[in-house]
Amino acid sequence: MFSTHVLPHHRLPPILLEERMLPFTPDSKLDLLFSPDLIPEEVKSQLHPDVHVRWRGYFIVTLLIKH
Amino acid sequence: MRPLASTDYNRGHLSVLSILTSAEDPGEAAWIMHFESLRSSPRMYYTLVTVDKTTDKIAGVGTVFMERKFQRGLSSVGHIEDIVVEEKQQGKKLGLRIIQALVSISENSGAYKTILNCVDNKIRKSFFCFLFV
Repeated sequence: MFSTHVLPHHRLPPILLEERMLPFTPDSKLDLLFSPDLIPEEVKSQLHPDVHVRWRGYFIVTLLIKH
Repeated sequence: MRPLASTDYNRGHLSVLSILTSAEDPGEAAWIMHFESLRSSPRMYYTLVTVDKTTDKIAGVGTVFMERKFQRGLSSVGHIEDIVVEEKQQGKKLGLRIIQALVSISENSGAYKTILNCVDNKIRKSFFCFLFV
C-alpha cells in the first residue's frame, strides 16, 4: 500500500510554489514564430528575473522607437 | 524573453504596440493569419517579446527584419523596428535587452550591418541605447 504524504503549503520547494502561483506560460507550451535558441542566453540572464515593477526613482530609460 | 507566440494576441500584443503607433484590432483570426504569414517567410522576421511572469502579459516588443542583399556575397541587413515597452515596465532596461537580443540574432543570421529605425523625436534615446549594445 502506498502512503500519501502531502507537504504543507509553506514547505513546498520554492520553485514549485512559484510555478503553482504564476500564470506564466512556458515556451514549451507555445507555438513560436522562430526557435528560441536564437536568443542569446547572455541577454536572457541579464533580464530582470520576473519583470516585476522596480522603481529606480532617479532614472528611467524610456524606449519608444518607431519606424 | 521569447519569440512571438501564436497566442500572444490574448497577451496584449496589440495593446503594447499601440503605445508606439496606431494598432487597430483586426480580430484574433486575422492576427493569427498574419502571424502565420510572417512564419511562412523563414529567417526573415524575428519578433521578440518580454513577458510579465506575474500576469503572463506582454511587457515589451521588438522586431528585426532581415533584408536580403545581392552584394557582399548575398549577405543581408538587419532592420530593427517597433521597439516598445509598456509604460508600467519602463525603467528596467527591457528595451535595451530586446535591442541587444535582436542585434545578436541579426549578426548570427549573417547580417553585415544592423540598422535601428526610429522617429525623429526618439533619436537621442535610441542612440543612447544603441551605444550600450
